Amino acid sequence: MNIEDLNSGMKHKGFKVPENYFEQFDDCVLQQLPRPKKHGTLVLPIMKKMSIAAALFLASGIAVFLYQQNKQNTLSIDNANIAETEYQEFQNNIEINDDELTEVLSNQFVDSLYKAEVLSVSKPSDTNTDELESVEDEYSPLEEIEI
Amino acid sequence: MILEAFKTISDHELMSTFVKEQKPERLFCELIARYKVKVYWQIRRILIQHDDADDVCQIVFIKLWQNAESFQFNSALSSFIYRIAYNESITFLKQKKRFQSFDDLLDADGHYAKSIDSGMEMDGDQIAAQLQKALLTLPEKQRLVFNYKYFEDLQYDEISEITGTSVGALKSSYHYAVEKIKKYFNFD
Repeated sequence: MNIEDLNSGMKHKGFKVPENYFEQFDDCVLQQLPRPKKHGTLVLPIMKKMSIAAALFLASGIAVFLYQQNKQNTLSIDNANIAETEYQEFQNNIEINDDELTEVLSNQFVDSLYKAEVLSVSKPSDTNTDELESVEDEYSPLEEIEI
Repeated sequence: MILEAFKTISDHELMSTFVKEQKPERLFCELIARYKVKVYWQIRRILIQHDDADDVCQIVFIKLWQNAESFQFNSALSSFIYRIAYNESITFLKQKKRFQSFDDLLDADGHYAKSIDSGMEMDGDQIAAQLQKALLTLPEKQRLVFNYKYFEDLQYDEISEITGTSVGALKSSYHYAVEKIKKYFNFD
């Protein structure tokens, strides 16, 4: 080998380069470039966007939950107030003593007896009136008193 | 993607329009098209291995996009881009702890010489492989200057702009590099 060999157009010889390396090089670089910022717009990384979206979603969820909770509380308080007022009014209107209560109850009892009697009287018409009288005699309360 | 109209305008006009129009992709593609091969080979000769060179080359163009506004129009766009490539390559080497300073050898442990011998990085051209192995015996500064001067045909003042080293120091480094290469191949 002599010095002419070294100078004989070997400047780009020697090193191996993968096929089509220089053709594909442009795309490799372009893919790694920071996204160009358009005038007046804010470019955020995807993770930042996602975290902001998640925070907004969470905040709106909490807001809706609190609103509904508040609404339910108000309703139940209103219902309770109404129920109490009605009860108070009811209690105030009731002025009844024991005698009146007894009378009401006894009237109801008499009514029920009367109804029962009327029903029994209005049973089939073949019933003999004598038989009825005898039955009444047998169960006369006067007799019980005498005993 | 690349419009024919942009192919005829100068580097400065292209860069100026690129910045004014808020970095449209079609103009950036034209910038990549103009410099990707040159930038790749500069980096590849410093880093030797394709995967490393590929990573750093992509970083260079991403940095060009990010720092387009800081380009001063009183120097060549090529120098601006090559300086990014140079800085990123050195940063990469330092991260890999392949060297600490320019006086170090990149390949003190023979790692790159082995990869050249294995045929993983070289295409089997014996002269090219031997030259790369010879360059790996040089201190890093001499190897870098030799790469820029011999392979890229860059002028000393342009290499000075890229590396931040004085022209005198560059000339001296190149001279030592050539002498050592000659010695390596017994060209005396």
